Amino acid sequence: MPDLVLSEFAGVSLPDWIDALIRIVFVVALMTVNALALIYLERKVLARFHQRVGPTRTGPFGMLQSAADAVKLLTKEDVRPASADRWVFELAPYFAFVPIFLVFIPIPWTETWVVRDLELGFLFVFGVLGLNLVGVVMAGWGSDNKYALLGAVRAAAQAISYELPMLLVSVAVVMVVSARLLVDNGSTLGAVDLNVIALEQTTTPFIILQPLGFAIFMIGMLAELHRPPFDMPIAESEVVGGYFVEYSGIRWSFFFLAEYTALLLLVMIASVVFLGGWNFPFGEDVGLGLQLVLTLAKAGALIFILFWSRAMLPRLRIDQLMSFSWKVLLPFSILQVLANAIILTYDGDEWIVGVTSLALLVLLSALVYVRAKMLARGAERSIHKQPARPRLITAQDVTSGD
Amino acid sequence: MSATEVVFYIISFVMVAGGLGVVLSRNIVHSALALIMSLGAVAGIYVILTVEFLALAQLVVYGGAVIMLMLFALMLTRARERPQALFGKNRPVALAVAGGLLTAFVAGILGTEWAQSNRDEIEPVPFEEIGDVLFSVWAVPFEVVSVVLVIAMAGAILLSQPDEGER
Amino acid sequence: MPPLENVLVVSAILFSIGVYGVLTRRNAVNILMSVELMLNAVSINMVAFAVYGRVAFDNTFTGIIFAFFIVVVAAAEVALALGIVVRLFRNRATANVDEVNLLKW
Repeated sequence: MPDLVLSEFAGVSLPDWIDALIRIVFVVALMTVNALALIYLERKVLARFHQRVGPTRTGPFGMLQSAADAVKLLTKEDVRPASADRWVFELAPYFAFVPIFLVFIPIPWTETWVVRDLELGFLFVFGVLGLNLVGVVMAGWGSDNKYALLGAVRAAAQAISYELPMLLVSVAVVMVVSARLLVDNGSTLGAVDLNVIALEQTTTPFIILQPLGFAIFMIGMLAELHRPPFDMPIAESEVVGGYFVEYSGIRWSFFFLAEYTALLLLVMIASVVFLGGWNFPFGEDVGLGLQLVLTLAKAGALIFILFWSRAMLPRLRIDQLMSFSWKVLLPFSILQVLANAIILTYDGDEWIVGVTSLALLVLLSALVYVRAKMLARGAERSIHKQPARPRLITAQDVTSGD
Repeated sequence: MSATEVVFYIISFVMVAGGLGVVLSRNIVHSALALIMSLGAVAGIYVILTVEFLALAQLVVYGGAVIMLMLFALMLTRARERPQALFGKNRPVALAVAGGLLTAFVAGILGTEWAQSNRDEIEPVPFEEIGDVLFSVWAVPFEVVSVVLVIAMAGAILLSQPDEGER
Repeated sequence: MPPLENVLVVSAILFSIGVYGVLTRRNAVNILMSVELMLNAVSINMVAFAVYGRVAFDNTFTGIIFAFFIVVVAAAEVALALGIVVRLFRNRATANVDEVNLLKW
């Protein structure tokens, strides 16, 4: 059982449940601070991308904007559609929010700061994240609103479709870790443990060994979070807000909180699994404080990339994003797993794994680029094709035709 | 009664309550939610029996997929507009059959002398050995199950094709 | 850990609830839910035998593997069964199994 930092300072060891309680309180506090900070940061960063300033009036540099938003949400009236199924409507926000909060349990912030170092941490993450979708579907249906239902079904379909390539790519990373553990320890125990995955990246983070995995994981992350360019299910101009359109005030803030918490969660997982978490580049040599700084710096970089993609990319249509996942990402992730399996079974060196993955990533980008060019050329051609011009009939034609 | 036993009884109470919700609820969507509760409690029982891997597989498959399938099917078959009746003709017969089965089971269970190990000596099940066994001793059923899944996918796609002349 | 009999009795209770549900409910999806309850009750039973009897019966994991395959096959079965139910609804405009009685004599 990793020691709590309190017990290290005070030299006292606490009973299990107090230890767990304190860690959970830390995680809850972190989640709240994170939501408030990200709301403000997103608006500021997006504003700078759009060459404007963002919130400036509430507090110095607009920093109290999140607090103002929170006050507004808390004081709104709690409205419920009269024909909505009461149980389903009211339980849906909790179903959407609680699984995300639960997944913070196995994530390591530093070498010893983890709520519980679960042996099956990585599997736990994906398993419990799937329960989020039940909340989304309940919200859409319980609202008794066609647009909410449409948004909910689209959101669920999109999340399931992009979960698959993410899972397969995670399996590929776990294969690399298991191969190493088999060589070091003789058994693959701990290959799914997030802390062990972070520990294995002392010299090379897995983004170098599995660049395709990182790319697919990032794309899948955007889709799981319903963020642009995959935000069709919750887009205002498409489905009038999507599955949470009938929610207001505190209930809506649960969904909102769930979205930003899931953002931090998936970014932390990506940084632990692919960027080395607290470990790379010099994590094991420095103390816990600097490891925390490393973790937060990596998470911050990935969060910035997510905000950047929101500012930069247009929205994909629902059929475009579904076909992208099933026809492009899934075959490539299966190929990645296959390549890893073949190379690792025949005891290939690890740089072969990295090179293969990079080749697959280049192939994927080339495929997407060629297809995009084809589509653009087709669209251009149809734009430049002259429509049948209306013929101008003069008075002479009319009289001479008689 | 150790803490594990108390937790086991709480979880089995939730499970049975969920089961009763499935079969007794007037609103079919409430039945689906009760099923989630019940299957989640089954995952909890697996955790108590120290097979966490199976608990997570149960959560992923049932919680993430089967429940969503059922909710979609309920949506597509307009279940909200047709409330279920509680008093069917079958009810006395069903009660008799279910009650009879339960009595027979309980009598059999409590009457047998189980040759199992002492319950205080149970060691946690090591999941990497489950993986070993799954891919060596049970490799053929594993492959057969993957074929079953492909067939189920193909069947589901075929079943959802529009009829001739529809649309 | 609870005694083995308690775990078996709990799974028997869940099984009988499932049987009652299959015999009583009229909506096809609801019957499927009751079948899921029955399958899970059997799974718990198998896992309990495997876990409690591991030392006595030479470290066999058969019950756990059984439960694993039940989970997978039940998922496949639910997918197909729901496809049939939705298809039935398209043709007969009802998901009530009492009203699907064309072959009744």
